[in-house]
Amino acid sequence: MKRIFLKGIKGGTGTTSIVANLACALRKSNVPVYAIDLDPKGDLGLHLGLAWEHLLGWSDYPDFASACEQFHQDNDGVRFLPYGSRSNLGLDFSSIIESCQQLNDSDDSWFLFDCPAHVDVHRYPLNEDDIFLEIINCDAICHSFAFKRLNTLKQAESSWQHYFLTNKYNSASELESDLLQLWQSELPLIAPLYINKDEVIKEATAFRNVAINCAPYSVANDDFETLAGWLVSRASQNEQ
Amino acid sequence: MNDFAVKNSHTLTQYDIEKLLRQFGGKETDYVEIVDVEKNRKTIEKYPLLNDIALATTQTQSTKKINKSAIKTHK
Amino acid sequence: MSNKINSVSVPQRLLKVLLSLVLTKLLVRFVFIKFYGYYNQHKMSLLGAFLLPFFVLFLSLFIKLDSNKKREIKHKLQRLYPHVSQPVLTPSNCIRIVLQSVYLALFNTTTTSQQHTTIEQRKTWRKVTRSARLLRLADSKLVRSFKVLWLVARKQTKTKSYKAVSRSSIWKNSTLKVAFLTLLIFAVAIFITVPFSIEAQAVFISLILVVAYSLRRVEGQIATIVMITLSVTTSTRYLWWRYTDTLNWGDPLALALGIGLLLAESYAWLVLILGFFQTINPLHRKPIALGKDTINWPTVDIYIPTYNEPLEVVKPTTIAAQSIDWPADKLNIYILDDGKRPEFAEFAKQIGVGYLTRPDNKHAKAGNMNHAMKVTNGDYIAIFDCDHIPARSFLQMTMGQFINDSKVCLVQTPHHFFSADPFERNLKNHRKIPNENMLFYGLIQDGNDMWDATFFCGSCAVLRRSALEEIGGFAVETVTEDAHTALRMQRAGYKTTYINIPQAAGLATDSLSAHVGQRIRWARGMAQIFRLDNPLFGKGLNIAQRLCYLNAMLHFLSGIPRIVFLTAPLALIYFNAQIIYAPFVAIFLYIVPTLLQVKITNSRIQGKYRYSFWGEVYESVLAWYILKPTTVALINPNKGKFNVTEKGGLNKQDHYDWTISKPYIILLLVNVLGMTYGVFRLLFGDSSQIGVLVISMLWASYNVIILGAAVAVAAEAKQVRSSHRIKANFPAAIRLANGRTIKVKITDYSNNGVGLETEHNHLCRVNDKVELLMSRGLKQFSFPTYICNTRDKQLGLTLRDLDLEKQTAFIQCTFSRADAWLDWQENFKHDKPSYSFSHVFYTSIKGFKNLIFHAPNELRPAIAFASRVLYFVASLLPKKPTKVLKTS
Repeated sequence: MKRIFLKGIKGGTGTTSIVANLACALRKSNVPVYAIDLDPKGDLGLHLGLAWEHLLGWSDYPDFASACEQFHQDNDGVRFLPYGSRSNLGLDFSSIIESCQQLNDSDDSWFLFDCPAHVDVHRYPLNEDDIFLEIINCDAICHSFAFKRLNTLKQAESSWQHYFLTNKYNSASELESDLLQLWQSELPLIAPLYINKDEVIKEATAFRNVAINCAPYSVANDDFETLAGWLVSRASQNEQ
Repeated sequence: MNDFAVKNSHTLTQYDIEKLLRQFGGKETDYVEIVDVEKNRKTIEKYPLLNDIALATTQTQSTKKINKSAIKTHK
Repeated sequence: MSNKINSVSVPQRLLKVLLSLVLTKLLVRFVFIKFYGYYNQHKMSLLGAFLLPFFVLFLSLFIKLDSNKKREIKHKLQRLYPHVSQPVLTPSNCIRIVLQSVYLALFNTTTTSQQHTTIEQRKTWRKVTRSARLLRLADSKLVRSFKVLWLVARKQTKTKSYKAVSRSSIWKNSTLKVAFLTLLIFAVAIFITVPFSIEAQAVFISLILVVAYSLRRVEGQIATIVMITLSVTTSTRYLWWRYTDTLNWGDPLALALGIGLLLAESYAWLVLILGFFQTINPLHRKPIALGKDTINWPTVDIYIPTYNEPLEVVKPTTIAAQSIDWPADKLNIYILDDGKRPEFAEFAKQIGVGYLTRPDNKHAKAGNMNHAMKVTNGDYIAIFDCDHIPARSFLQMTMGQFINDSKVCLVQTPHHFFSADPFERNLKNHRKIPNENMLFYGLIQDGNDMWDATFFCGSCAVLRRSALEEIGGFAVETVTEDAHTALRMQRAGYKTTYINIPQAAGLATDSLSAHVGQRIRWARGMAQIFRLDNPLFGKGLNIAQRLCYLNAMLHFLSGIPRIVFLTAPLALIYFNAQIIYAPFVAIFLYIVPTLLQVKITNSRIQGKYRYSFWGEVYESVLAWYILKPTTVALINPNKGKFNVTEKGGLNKQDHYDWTISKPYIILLLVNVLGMTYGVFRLLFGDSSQIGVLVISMLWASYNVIILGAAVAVAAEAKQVRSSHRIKANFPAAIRLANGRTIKVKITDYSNNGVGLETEHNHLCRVNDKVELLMSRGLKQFSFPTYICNTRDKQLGLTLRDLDLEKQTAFIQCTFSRADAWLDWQENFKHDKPSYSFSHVFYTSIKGFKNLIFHAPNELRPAIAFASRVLYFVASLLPKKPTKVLKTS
């Protein structure tokens, strides 16, 4: 199984859209794709077509077996597990992450975890094959957060593959263009690609769908395909 | 994790160099994308917050980077 | 009535009296009425009006002529003689009637319907195409079976036993090698010199043609070498035959002309052999990578010399030079401005490049660069003409050669043009056939590289500073300082290299006169080099290098031989001088197969770089003009001045360049007159000469076609836009005003606009604002644009108000792309001689049409008169009767 954790470096960087679109992009190669929402304020389900009234998720169940009832499948075949409302004393997030191992039916299955911005990366049980994408936008605040993160990463005990992924990039903005150029050569761990700002990503959620289905000729589609391809090659390099 | 290398090139959008090398041999690793060092320096100088962070990071850590060229004023 | 009759004049009364002797009173009155009728109403001539009533009377004896019958007869006559106009009885109409009657009598003219004729036409056309298809099928089957045979033979060479034999050491024995070589030369000498009887020659030549035909589609170096050997054999044999057997010692005029033709043919043979030698094995040198550590990369100065070119031409070059992927601290760019213009200095300061001027303008470009060498100090010097825009990968593709071998002093890359040269523009050939300089940069330089004889071409190249300093800087003694500099460096023991990848592109010459001027300069310069620093003698060069230089020189001496070839057949036609003193059959058997064989071999070798017969056209265009400069320069190398080629001008309207086309028109007239004279001689002359006469006329008609194409080139087409549009194929994106993005493909770009294609129908309209997103490597740039034209899946965008930074970014994303010029040859299919010939033929016809269309006003009345005469004569000819519509 291949695990990808996506977390915004701060709130509002657009992590959930990336998870939803990435899941569908990975699904295009017909492998099992699971998307798990770890964010209490999360809305991954809405991105993937879950009914608005549906309130339950894995956090409402005491054990994994019963939580699995909450797996939904969207039209593309992505199986996603919403957070729920934590009504009872349900599972905590480390246990849900560990339990997902049980679902590992094949070697090429992908598990994407939508992580909340406020939970620090060090609290996750990561091993060296895991890919952790920290989503940043091109502004000075994310720049400073990124460097702070680099400091904390130095003191980490375990190791995993950590990348900064730029989202909502708008090259028309002078600051963003300058900053990205700076990051591409001066920011360690920056991913070799970025997701462009595209209105269709926002619009797609209003259609209860993902951008790559709504606008196959858009740059967003291209970006997510590129992201999927890059992750596939990263993961296969891990296996070597 | 103590030190991380800055990896440039090997992007998936390196279209024109790919085409060139595909037609005439040579590996993609042979071509070096030159970094605009001068522009980056100007960016850091332009925005004080970035400047502060840059000063702080060069003082406290030594990040190993491939492709460090001498920063020289080129006019 | 009676009044009318009473007022007739005396001769009429006399006539009336005469007639009344023969005819009744009624008939006489009838005659007169009809006469007046015809004369006054139908405006017939006097005689016609008089005769016609009698004719009608005569007819009425046989046929009952009531008004219906008359009408019927009238209609029938109109149908049968459709081209006879009213009034009927004019002299020209009489001729028409006579001819038409003859035609109707002799030929079956059943009026078939239009439909029927088209059906018949289609049937015959189908038969023709079917037989053509059958022929082609047979041809391809034959060729395929030969290919299979050849592959089988090649497989055999892979078998062990064959390998054992071929690898055995006897071949390494040098005496055996020498013996083998002498045997080969002996055999070839025999083939060439033994005089064959006609039949033997026929057999020999058909064998050779069969072999050549079978190797047509077989690819590979060995087949090419076989074809080259065959061509060398046949052409040498042909030349030997000419020297020994075909000079007319009896007739001094024929002898003199014959020797002239023979010398021209020897020139052609020499160029052919040298050409085979030069291009038999192009090197296709691969770029060598530099190390990853840019600390060790050398410093490079880029010189952009300019004199009087406008700033808009130099701007993109400078910006692109700055964008070359090379460490900024090791790259120095200088504009060398001999025009000393302040706006250039301003621009250089603005974008941060060097600006150099010197106190005088001695020795033009070479002097300019020598001066710059004194005030700069990069280890290497790259030179770009001010309109040659470099790709960003230029240095990384070329510098490896220097680092790999310290003896290398020059790396040259192709000169590619993104605009059409005069041939392409005036003949509308742009990107349809390879252009004139494609042969040199695509094939010949690559061949030169094999023999280490690459020439420096003045631009798109990098030189080693130490080598330049060793020879004292750029050579200033000739007008082609580039070739001379390379020659000097080679003499000093350095090596030169060529990378056959276009890494820069520039503007082609604007007009035919500028083009010819440029070639005159090159011709003069080459001749000067041969007089002042002859590559055939002197130290430092090996034999292969000398031969390559010799071939380059010979190429510029093609003026006289070409003119000889264009006028040779006229010697026989006008003066009856037997310049080739041999029977018709022998001429046919020697000349035609040799020409065929040579054409086929050349087509095979040069097929992708030059199409057959176009070489003759290019040569004919230049022949007259390079005659004088080369002869003058050969005699006195220091005469003549350096004239700079102008770049960046604009042709405001269609016009015909009469000054430059005078020589071709004169040659054309001479040939056309020769052909008409030849026709006369054919019809009325003595019949013993017919065979040779026919051959001469065929040759003259071939010359007429070539000259017609040359004439066509002088019709300067109007240049519509001042910024050139360049074809492209790379991905980009646009962001619309509503924030949505669309992935697009850039199909073309120019200085301030792009054309793009979407996968899906877009809904954009003209004047919409869109953001164009293009990348250079990792970096993405955004450009504000508006839509200037749109079609279903295509858009044209214009860039608005770009500041210098955006201009730089735009050039980096378009002109400066590493793959911008890589498709310079991709669109050209391999040459097909027959197709190429028909193309030249149609171009020639266009040339004639142009001549007439653009005729100067003094000649227009003559042309109008001539066309009227032709039209009149054509109208006398019999015409097919019109179809009768059966009305009930």
